[in-house]
Amino acid sequence: MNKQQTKTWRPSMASRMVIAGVALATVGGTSVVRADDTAPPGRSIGYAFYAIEWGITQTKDTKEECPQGVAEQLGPREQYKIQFPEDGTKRKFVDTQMLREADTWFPKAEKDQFQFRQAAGKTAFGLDLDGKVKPTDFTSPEGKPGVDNQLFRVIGCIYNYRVGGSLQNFDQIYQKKMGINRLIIELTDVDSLVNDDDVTLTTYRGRDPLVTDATGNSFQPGGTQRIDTRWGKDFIHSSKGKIVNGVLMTQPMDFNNPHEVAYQDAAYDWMRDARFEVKLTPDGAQGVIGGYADIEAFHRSRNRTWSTHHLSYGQQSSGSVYRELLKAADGFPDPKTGQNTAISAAYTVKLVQVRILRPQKEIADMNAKPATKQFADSSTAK
Amino acid sequence: MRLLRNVLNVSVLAFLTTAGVSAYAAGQTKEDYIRTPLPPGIQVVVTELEGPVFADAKGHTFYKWPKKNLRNGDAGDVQGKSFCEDKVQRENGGLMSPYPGGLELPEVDTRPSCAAVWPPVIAAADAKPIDKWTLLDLPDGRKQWKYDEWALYTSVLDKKPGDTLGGSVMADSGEVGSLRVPVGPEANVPSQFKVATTMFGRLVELRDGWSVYTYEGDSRNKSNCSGACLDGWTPVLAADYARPVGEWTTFERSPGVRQWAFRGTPIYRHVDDSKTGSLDGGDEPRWHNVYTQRTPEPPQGFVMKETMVGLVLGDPQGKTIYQYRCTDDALDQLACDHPDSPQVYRFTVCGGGDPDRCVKVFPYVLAPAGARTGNSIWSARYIDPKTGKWAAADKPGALHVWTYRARPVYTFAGFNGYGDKKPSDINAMDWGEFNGQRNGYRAMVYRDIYSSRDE
Repeated sequence: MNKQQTKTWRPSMASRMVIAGVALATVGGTSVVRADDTAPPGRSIGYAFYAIEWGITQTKDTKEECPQGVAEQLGPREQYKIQFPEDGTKRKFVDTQMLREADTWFPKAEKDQFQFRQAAGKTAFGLDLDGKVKPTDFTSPEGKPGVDNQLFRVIGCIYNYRVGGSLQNFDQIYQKKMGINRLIIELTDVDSLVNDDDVTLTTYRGRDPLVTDATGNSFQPGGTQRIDTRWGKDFIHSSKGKIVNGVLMTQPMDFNNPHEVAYQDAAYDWMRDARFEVKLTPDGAQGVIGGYADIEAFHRSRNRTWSTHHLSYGQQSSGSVYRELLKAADGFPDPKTGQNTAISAAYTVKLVQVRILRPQKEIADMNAKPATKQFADSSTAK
Repeated sequence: MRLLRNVLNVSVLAFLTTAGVSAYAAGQTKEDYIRTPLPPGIQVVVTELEGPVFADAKGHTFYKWPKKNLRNGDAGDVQGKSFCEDKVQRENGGLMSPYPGGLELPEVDTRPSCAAVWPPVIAAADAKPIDKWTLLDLPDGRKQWKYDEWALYTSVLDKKPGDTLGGSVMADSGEVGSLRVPVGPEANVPSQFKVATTMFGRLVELRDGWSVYTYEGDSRNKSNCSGACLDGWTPVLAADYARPVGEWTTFERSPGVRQWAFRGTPIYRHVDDSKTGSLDGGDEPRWHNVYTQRTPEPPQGFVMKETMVGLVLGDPQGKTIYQYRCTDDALDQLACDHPDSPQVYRFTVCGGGDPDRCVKVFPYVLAPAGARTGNSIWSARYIDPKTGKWAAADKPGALHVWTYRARPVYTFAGFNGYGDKKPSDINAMDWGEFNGQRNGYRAMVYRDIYSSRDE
């Protein structure tokens, strides 16, 4: 880690924390950015995500953030044993497994019958989303107060999301491996990669594999990415931002994070009012994206891509997590019920520089054609 | 008359049609297959979806049941042996991890045996093995036909020749249960090629799975792709000793160099294809994938939509169409995905057990009165939404709905604001147990731009 990065990120707490996803590993070597020669060619630069994880503080012994333990969290298997003890009772499929699956897909909102272990502590990744410092807020690893990340409270002590957990492990493998998850950003109107008060960030899905070294695990800058304007329309969002001392900060925007983790899945998480705060170099970027995770999208995406079988590996009960999400939700209240529909959250992210190829033909097609075509249109039959 | 376009350009439109009769029924080309010796009373039927299959004298399709690991155990046959017994399974097998076995199955008092749902293909008492056809001795003294050592069955769902309602090779991937799949003769293609069942039709591929294409600019048995054209397209060359096979011929594209042609049209590979089974080359103007036969079109008015996974079928309003898939958790893995089977599985994942909520969350796709398609894959029937069972047309509350392979299809209106709202939405793509593959909903994906079937 070079001196500049150490200074910028003030990782004084790093010695006692294992920081998931933000180890500040260099991307293709270290870079010291100078203000006078940092404008990218054509005033634009692209980056592709190679790591994106929910921001979870993780100490080695877990006691700071999970004083009630991680192994003690009750997943589907553990809850089933409590709910239906092996006492000789003859049970029915409908009254047991089906009952639990019903709660997975249509969870009841009332109080959970099982104890849930929330995360605690004072430190969490994320951003100050509401400009306030509240009792429920955290302090960032760099010491910034007012961090809004209530999702950390809900999932911080679930093994699935922690380093080594089943979901965390496969999510990161497939994030790199599967083209459907290829998320990229493009910064335009960039006059300086160090200080520029007006840049534009656009998210896309890319269509190409990441370039790696021979190990396949180290991502190399300079690869190309064709932006996907045909199948990836749902991932195109844009926002204004500024770069201050090499850190990009954007205004709120929608952010859709695709995550296929099994065969032919197609889910994504929807973060509302998402803001980037990432350190830029010519060959990579890393930092956090803070915003409000839509609760229904979060819940459904997990269920769809990570079945009860898979959830049980990581001791994650879908129904219990949903009820905790509702309790901890702190954004986007439903105008009718007042129930918050989103929860403050943060991703820790790492990106590698890519050269973006803009397929003019696809853009022209996108503008010219509707996305659907109808059967039995005899006027177009040949 | 309903027309199928000669070529398929899925980036523009999957099928072009006029109202009326299916081109398939009107004599669309059917797939050629390798003729091999058949036992008396057994025939080959060329089906609309699966291509040529073996069938009994009445036309009932034959199926096999290959063993599959279901994470918490196996289910299915091994070659040379049948595990489909005439015995009613009353308890679940615990295959649906993480939950245990030994639980009483739904509607157990009326649950049929495996053999009742999948009758064995019984051979005559004096039947003799021939070619790949051999005999399996059953406990009751009868003999069951095997093909390539797989015990053969018919499906009680199949009613007429050409039906393949018991199972499809297309469904047999990922986390699905242990499914039955049709058994048929090999396609009559040169050894360099094979044929795969896809939603658009029987797709010709190279033996290693790469798609092949034809070019409108070519002439019969003559390639006009040269120079810069060859940067994007590689002629599929024939070996020196290659001989014509069925509808496949060779022609000399340059002195001493022979190229394959199918039905007289030169065959190429697309150099930019990035996965096996790709349809990407068909996006290029005048280039097309190759099919031995096309699948009949969806009902009139249905649409093909561009989504995050590829081309997906939509209803006339543009909403994504979903199929429901289900195999129960018993060792005999009976299907629970059609209205004749217990509906409690579906009600669990579509409404938390509440049939009324099911109809709101996953509405049936309604069919106009008198709707007909002219093919056996898509049809309209009446259903009782309260029970999920077939209904008489005059039953109060009955809905006239579209069905695919005799199962209703659905859209996803959603729950708590999470549903399909815009045409590209496929938010119930994998809704249900095991990514929607063992008890749940899957979008009808016609072109998957990311997954290879061979994965």
